[in-house]
Amino acid sequence: MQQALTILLVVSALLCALLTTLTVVRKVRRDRNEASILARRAEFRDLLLGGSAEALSAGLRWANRDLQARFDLIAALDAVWPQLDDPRREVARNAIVTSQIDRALTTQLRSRDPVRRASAAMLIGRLSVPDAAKLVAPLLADDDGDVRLTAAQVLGVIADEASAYDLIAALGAGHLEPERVIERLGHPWAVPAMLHVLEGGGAGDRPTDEAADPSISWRPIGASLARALGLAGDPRAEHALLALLRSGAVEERIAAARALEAAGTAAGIPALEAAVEDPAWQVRAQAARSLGGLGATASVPALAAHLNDSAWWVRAAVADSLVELGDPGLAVLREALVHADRYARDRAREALAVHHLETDAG
Amino acid sequence: MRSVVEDILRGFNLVMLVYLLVITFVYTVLMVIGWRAVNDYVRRRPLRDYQFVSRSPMTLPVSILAPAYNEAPVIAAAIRALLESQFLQFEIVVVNDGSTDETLAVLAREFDLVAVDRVPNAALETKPVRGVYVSRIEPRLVVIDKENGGKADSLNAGIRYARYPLFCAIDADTLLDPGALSRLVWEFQSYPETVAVGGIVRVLNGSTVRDGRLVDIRTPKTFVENVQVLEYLRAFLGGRIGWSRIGMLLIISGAFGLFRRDVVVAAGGYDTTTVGEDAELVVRLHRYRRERGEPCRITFFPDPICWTEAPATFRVLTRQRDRWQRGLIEMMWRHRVMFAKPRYGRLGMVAVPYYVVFEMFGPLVEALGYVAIVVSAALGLVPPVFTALILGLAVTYGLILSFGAVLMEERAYRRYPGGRDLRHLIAAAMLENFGYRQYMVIVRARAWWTFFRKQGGWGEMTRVGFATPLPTEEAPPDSAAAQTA
Repeated sequence: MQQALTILLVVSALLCALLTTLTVVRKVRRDRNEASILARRAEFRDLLLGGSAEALSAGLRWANRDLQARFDLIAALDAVWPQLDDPRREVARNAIVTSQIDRALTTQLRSRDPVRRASAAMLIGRLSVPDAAKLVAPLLADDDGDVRLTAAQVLGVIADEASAYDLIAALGAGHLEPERVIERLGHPWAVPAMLHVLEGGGAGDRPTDEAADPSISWRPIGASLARALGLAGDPRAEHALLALLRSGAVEERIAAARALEAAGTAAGIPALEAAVEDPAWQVRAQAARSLGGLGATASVPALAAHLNDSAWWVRAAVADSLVELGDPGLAVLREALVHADRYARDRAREALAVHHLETDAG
Repeated sequence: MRSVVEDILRGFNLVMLVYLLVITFVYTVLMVIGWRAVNDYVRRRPLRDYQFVSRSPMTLPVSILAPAYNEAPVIAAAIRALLESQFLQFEIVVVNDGSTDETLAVLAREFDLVAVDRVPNAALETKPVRGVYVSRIEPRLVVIDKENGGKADSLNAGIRYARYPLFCAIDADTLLDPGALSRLVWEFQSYPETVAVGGIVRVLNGSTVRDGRLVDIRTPKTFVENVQVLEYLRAFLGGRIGWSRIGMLLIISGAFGLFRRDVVVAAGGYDTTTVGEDAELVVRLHRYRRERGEPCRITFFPDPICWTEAPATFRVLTRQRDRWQRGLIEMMWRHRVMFAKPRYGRLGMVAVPYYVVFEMFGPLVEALGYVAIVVSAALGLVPPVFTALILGLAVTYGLILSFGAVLMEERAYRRYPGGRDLRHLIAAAMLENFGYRQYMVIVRARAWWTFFRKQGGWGEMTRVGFATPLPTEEAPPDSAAAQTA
């Protein structure tokens, strides 16, 4: 027994010593690695802010060789690019040409390693390499999910007309979940392209057209574009949204009703008042919310008529909007405290209570 | 008679040897798979813009369900901490499970609650709901007041009134990293077939919390707390990453997981008759989806972190582990139909048999094995080298797992950057093999006894609040989290 314990103790001690050494070595290496990452990022920032074209060119070549250095350059670009004045940006663009990093990155877009493909796309977008959108767009259909998402993100960074059409095409092709494209498209720079597609016909249609791959079965994207227009909050979208509010698809009508609030134009109000009568309760609820959000005090009677709507969500939306509309809306809610309809009374009482307003019927 | 006993002892020694060889092999394989997964994650991390996820209006909104039973001392701070989550669209649904203390009164006072009329969004049976309240000062807060029914019943009530497509089940006394939700949601957005995602739960003891925020992360001072830090690292980094990578994750901690609400409702919600409702739900979701031929991705994401108080005394720890083991036994018994059934794929053929053999019966085998080897050695029935081999294997697999987890932590997360913390973890990794692990084996083996006696419930909880993360009377119900894999 004693011999067994001795063997056990010796083996355990050796194993512990070995694993402890390994752990400590690992920690020391990681500490050093983290310090070098911080130093490299600072170096890239200095180069971008004030380095010579030659030094910057050398830095870009370095970033092309080493994956971590590439991410450090991306971090530095994100930190300082908005601060750079035009002459400094010109220096950076010249460095891109002299370092030939654009060619190297283009080649890496076809790398077998998804992280290399995605990081090359990120750098192409941030360095504003010529024809960046055209180079990155094929990655929207990449096999790897991270690469597809990165491509969408990069096109959002490039933010030009070509990027918008590529994202819209990806929406139609279903390469990505619609929300992942909508969140990138939902900006004023993409509005003209979205309006063109909405007003001009099918998804993926673009004015210059290498358009769409005929083998792809296109999805209806009206609702998605309406949601993106809602995020953009651009008054230019009003006409298209009003058309969508008359669409036969419930999803499109809901999205249009929401987007009209963000577009913030007075012309949307009568259409939303009409939408409060929509057969679909989701559209009625959204239209009611949007009227509240738009501050449409003239719409109080239209809203009041739905305080006893058959759908709970519509009644709740109407009550909240009436609170939002201030005195005229509150007056309706106070009157509704003695409404003949029990559900209307409940909504009115709750809306007033939640907003710390008196709930006495008299 | 003596020779029969000797034969049994010799036979059991061989069983123990085979058991240890197999479990060491399994753990090593899981560790290697986990290591590769962590490396892949670390390489891809710069590609993932979690901050964008957290602020995008298109990100899936989340209902955070926080069941509370007699949590008056901590509830307000806990809710305030949750409200600090860096996530655009979420609601917090606190479910007061018939608390006998001032939990509801504290909430009403601190958040200016008002009773409202809400229509449940799901048909799940729960104990009667006495009232639904919203806050006049914090529109993201909803409070459900119901009759006492246990944690699972509270979660079901929360699901009924939750508005959003995803819900995050957490314990009311846990702290979320501010960016934790966006990381978990990212999984659902990138892989739409995802049904549930678990994150890492870590031990809060020793760290400093101020105003509901973790301001200084440290390992605790006492051995019993430090060894739990290590156990949590080992359970999550050493086991779950590996199981998740091969699509066979069976456990998501009740302290921190994100689920698709519609699927959970369709599967019947949490089971109110088990003490391990979190793990049971995960197995049921797998089963439910597979039996209908629907895709089911249940995964573990190694970065989002939730912090929880761990028991600071052996007495409380013993009760907690007893409960976890009972939960595991109940879960495996209920879903025994999956055992070795090809219909359930790898889950039925590998994961369930593994859990039954090594996690459910493992403690019994190990406990009896230790007794057999000591008695055999004392009687001179086995050569000393054999005894050393068995005990050495037991120590070796413990060391490999523990150091492997510490190395993964160093590789990917470095939440304990100080040298002192690393020393604590290394010391715990070594010392736990000499007494602590054997004690835990006995505790888990004993859980079979309590399982047959059918004990259950929330257990006593005496919270002291986040500001002073000190010992708790008993940590909240959890899954079989800190078991070795």
